Amino acid sequence: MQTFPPPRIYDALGLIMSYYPNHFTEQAKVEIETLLDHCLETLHDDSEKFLSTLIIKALRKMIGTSGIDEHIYLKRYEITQIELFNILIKEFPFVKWGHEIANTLICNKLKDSENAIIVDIGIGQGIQMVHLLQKLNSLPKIKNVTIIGIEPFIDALEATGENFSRLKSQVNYNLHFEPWNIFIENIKEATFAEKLAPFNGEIIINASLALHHIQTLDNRLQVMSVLRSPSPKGIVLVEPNIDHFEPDFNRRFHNCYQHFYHIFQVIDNLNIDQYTKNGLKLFFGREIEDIIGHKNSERYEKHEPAFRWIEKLIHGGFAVQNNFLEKLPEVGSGIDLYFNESGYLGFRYKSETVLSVIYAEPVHIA
Amino acid sequence: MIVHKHANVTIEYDQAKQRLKQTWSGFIPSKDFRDAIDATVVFAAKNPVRTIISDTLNQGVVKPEDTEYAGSVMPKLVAKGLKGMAFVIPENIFTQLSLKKFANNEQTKGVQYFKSESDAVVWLNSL
Repeated sequence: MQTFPPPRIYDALGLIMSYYPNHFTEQAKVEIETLLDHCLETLHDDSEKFLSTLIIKALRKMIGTSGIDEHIYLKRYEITQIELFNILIKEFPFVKWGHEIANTLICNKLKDSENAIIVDIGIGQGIQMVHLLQKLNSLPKIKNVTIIGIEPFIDALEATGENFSRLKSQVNYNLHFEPWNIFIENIKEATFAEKLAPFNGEIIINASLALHHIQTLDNRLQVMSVLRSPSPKGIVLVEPNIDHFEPDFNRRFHNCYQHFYHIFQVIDNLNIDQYTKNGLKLFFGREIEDIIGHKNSERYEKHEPAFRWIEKLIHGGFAVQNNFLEKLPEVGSGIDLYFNESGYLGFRYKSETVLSVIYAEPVHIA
Repeated sequence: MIVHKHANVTIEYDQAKQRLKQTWSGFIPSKDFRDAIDATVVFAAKNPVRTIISDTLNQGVVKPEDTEYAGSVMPKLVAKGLKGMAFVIPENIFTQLSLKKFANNEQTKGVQYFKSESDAVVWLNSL
């Protein structure tokens, strides 16, 4: 029987993306439908096809083609918000261990402190902070902890408040929560100082998967400067290590593909059923839609590689510290952790460093 | 003898070999593609067609539903005496995906795929 191997999906996808922005002819649209049809055939247990489907979905939204309705195929994998949060926090190593490492680092830095102020940028529902507050309980000297939770979504802040209220009776220090319903880029040095003024203690700033939502370079640099202004003890950044700030659509597509191709392989390694794996992949479809399916000026998932965050920190008056943990945990799922000499802790799967944790302290000029 | 001719497809009949040859080029709109498939079926209903060679080397992509349509006529051709069909594999990767879909169709079992026309002809001549 004479047959032939199917072509590489990545090659086909790359060709389609090369038509952007104005070469989506009738033939090109049939090519898109054909590739989508090919991907949908065995979507369930093929990560590359799942990823390509999400990318094509985003592209079609951008260029406005109709045809096969991929939503019918994808919606069977939708999972509830609660399930999703549980998986992200308990199973997904980049979130679970990103939080854990950041929290361990913060605890280490506060081990001799009696009073601490933790500024959490993009606190969300306070999931990471709940774990941190539990961890702080083991510090013998800690007496007062203030969490300043910066978050643009009021509902999330209210949920955080409820989460912290439940926690108050379980910790052996005074816990105060100061919600701040604002976008970080709208905070000026003076208002930051005013917000911090009533509280006493060493300041630690935490920004887990938050700063990449700031849209412009100018605002990112300004935020670094504002964060430096109260002379915090340190700042912890957790950020995806990929360039989705890239304005060129084709380069951004290739970066996006490589990044999520590796993330999806990690998801395939998790000890959860196939439907839940696909539910988690579908969750990342929202990020892919932002990266591929929106105009650059309307995008919010603008990740940058670790070295560029380090540059911004330095520009803002910080110095990064490497080797900030004595012992690195085994995170499993085929991921290895390593300290890059430029100043970050990398979460690497195969050849791709997917996530970085950066710790920096203010430079004090004599 | 030319059976069907369009800007993007020519269908010829070799009476001595009782063979139809489809030669495709570029992107062919849906209606024109189906017209060519229909022309093949109509001709095979009236004339002895033992084998078909479909040269898709330079063909552009085919809509998924048109690929299914092409697969759906195979039983009619076999019922009229078709003994074998060979494709020359396209260079275009999207056309390869179209052909892969055709190949995965249950109704196209027995169809074979070759890198060159000469290899395809050797197989068809052996039938």
